[in-house]
Amino acid sequence: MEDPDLLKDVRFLRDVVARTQPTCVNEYWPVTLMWGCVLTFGYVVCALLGIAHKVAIIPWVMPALIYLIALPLTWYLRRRVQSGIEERGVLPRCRKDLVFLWGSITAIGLLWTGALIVSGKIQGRWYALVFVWGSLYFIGYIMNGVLLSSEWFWAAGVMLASLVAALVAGPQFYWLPGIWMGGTMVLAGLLGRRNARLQPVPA
Amino acid sequence: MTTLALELDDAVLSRPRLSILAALLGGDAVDFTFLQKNLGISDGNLGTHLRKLEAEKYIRAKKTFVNRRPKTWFEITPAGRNALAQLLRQLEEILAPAKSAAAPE
Repeated sequence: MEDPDLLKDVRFLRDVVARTQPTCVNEYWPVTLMWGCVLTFGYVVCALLGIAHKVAIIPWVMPALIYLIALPLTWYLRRRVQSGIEERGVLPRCRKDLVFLWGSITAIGLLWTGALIVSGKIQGRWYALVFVWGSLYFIGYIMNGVLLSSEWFWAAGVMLASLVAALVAGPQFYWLPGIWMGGTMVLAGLLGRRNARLQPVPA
Repeated sequence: MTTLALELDDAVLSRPRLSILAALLGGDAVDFTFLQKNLGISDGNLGTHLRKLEAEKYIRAKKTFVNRRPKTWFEITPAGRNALAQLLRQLEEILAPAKSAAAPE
């Protein structure tokens, strides 16, 4: 004979776990979307400055956009999303894994950028930066897909496809992965928004 | 009752306390209302069970200010995770003979 109390307890526990576990969605999709827009805008500005032969300004475009626009907006949007989550009675933990992941990617990317600039190898090979950062982003997106939410696999797929397409198509298309660095973040932000709306949030 | 059953951790082996630990397993800290809503335990009862788990150091409470009002959050500790994992292992051990007896020859 089955023990109804025991079964009830097991079912109750199963329901509690199902109701209270964090969802596999990126609730911080506004931050992702904002970074995508800023990076795409920055890349387009750099490209236009390059076409206009105003090369001296180019190195300052991305740092200025990141420090003056992206970082303050990140703080504001993060705070807003977090308040919404806190209103549901959940205090999200600091995702140290993601902090270390993107901290490492940024550090390695900056080291490569520095090395390429200092050694002078960047002269006439500006696209090396696009491939370095594109490859690093690809790794970051895959890890985001594993650690955070599935839409990042789409972003990784598009990033990889743009890197391969640029390599196959030749030097005339070396700009392609650069535009997709921001583009993939826009894509991940929009897919994240859709996933966050489709998935019911815990009570 | 078997010897194994006697070794079960009483602090965890109660439906409300087990469900509190299970609700905190995700790693995020949650507030009193969240637990009450999801576990369906009354105010006083929930407070008692939370205090018991805190005394055993299976959960920890941290206080922050939300909209200038103090709020208490509860999160599971490594000791709480271990206690829950150990209990589940012990329950599996208890069920193992029944499982092997029920297996088709």
